[in-house]
Amino acid sequence: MDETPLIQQYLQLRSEFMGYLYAMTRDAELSEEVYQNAAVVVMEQSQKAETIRNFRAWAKEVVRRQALHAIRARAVSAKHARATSPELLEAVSDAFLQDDSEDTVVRDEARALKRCLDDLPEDKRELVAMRYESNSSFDEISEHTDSTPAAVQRALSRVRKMLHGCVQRRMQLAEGAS
Amino acid sequence: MSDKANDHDVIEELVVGHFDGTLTEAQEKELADALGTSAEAKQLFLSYMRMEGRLHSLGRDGFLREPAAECHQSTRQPADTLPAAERVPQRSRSWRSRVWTASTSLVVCCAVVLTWALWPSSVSAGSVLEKAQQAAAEMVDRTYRLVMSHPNAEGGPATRELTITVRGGGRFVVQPEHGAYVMGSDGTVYWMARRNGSVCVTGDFRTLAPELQQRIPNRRLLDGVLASPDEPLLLDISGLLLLIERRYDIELVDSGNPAERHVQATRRFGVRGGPSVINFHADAASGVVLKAELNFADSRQRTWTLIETPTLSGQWYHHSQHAPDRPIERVGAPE
Repeated sequence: MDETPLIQQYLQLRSEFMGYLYAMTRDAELSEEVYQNAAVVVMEQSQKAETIRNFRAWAKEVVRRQALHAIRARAVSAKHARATSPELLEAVSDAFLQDDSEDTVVRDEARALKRCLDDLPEDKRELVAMRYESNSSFDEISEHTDSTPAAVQRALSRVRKMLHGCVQRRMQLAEGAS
Repeated sequence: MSDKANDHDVIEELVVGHFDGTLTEAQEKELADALGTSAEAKQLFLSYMRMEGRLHSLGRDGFLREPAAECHQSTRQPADTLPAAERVPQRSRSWRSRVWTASTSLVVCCAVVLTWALWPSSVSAGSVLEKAQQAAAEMVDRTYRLVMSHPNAEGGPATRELTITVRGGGRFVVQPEHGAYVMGSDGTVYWMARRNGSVCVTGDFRTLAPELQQRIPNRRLLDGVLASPDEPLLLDISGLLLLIERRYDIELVDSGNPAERHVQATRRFGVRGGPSVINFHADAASGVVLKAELNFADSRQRTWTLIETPTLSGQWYHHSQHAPDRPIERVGAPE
C-alpha cells in the first residue's frame, strides 16, 4: 500500500481529476471548486483510522460524487444555456471510473505535452494561454484578437488537435525507442 | 481515407466539440453511444480529458505563456494570427485607416522623442522590475511589515499584521502579530510551529495545507496553498515580482522622488485571480523593494513596507531558532 499522505496522492492526480471535472462541468471555476471540496473530503479521511486500499479508485468516486452534486446545484445560467445530457455525463463518468491507464503513461503524456507546448508557434500558444490561463470565453478572446467567436473556437479546436496529435506521436516515438 | 480513419476523425470532432461546449443533443447522444461501445473512442476521450486537465492546471499555475512574453507585451494578438479566412472582415479599414495610422504614428513618435528628452535615460518599468528581482534574489536579510486589510461586517476595515523576514534562495520567516504560529523556510524545507506545539517540516509546501487548515480553518488560505506551490501564499517579494512578470502589464509612474522608482502593475486582460493592481516602490540605486501595495477587486488590500535590513545568520531561517526543543513531525514528501 502507498504510504504517501493522502492529500499528496490527491494532488498528484490533479490533472486527471481536473480533466474529468472540466469534461463534466465545462466550467473551469466550478471544476476548481469541486476539486477543492473533494480535497477537504480527502483531508477528513486522513484523520480516520480506516485504511484505503486503492486510493485512486476511492478518490475518483469522491470526485464523481462531488461533481454530480455541483452539477445538480448549479443553476442554469446564460453561460450554460443547455446542460449536458445525463446520458453523456454518465458515459463520461463510466469512462473516468474505468480508466486504468498506468501512471507511467500518464506521466509520459504530461512530459510530452510540455514539449509540444514548447514547439507551438507563439501566436497559437498565446491563444491557448488566453483560454486556459484566464478561462476566457470565445467571445472575450475574439474581442482581444479582432476576430469572431466562431473563428476563435475553430482555431482553438485545431490547436487542441495539433497538441493531441503531437503528444500521441511523441508517445509512439518513445515507445518505439524503448 | 479509410473507414477507420474516418471514424476516428468523427469521434475526435465530437470529443473536441464536447470540450468546447458546441455539441448538439444529437451529437452528445452519438458521443455517449461511442463511449459506451467503442474502446478506441473511450481511450481517445480519456487522453483528451487528461490533456484538458493538464492545460487547465498549467494555465492556472501560469506556465502556458512563453517565457519571452514579458511585462511590456500586450496580450493583444495581431489579426494575422488566425487564418485569413477566419478573420473579421477588414475591408472597412481603407485609406481612412492608413491616415489614422500615419497620424497616430506621428503623435507616438513625438511623444517618444519628448519622453526620451525629459525622462532619465534607460529607465523603464521593465528595467525597474528586473532590478527589483535581482535585489530580491540577493542573500541579504530584509524584514517587511505586511498589513492585510479587508472590509468587516460593518463595512469598516479589519486588519491583520505579519512580520516577514526574507532572504534570497527562498528563505523566509513569517511571524504573525498574534504569535499563534511561526512558519518559514531555510531554503531547503518548509516548516511551521504552533505555539507550544510540535514543528511540522516538509519538503513540499503544499503538504503543509492540512496542518494549516487545522490551525487556521480558512478556505481561502487552503486555496492559496494549493494554488501556489512555487509562490507560497505570495509570502515573499520574489514571488510577488514573479507574479507581476507573468501576469501583469506594468508602467513607470512619476514618484516625485528621484531616489525611488514607482511601478504600477495592472492585471492583464482576462487574467483572473490575484490583486487587480499592484504598486511597488523600489530604491532607485539598489532596486530593493521599499513598499508594495496590492489591491484586490473586493476591496482587500495588502501592504508591504520594508522596516529593517538586519544581519542574521543563515541558521536563523531554520525552525530550531524559533521553536527549539520541540517534537518534529515530518509530513509529505521527503526533503
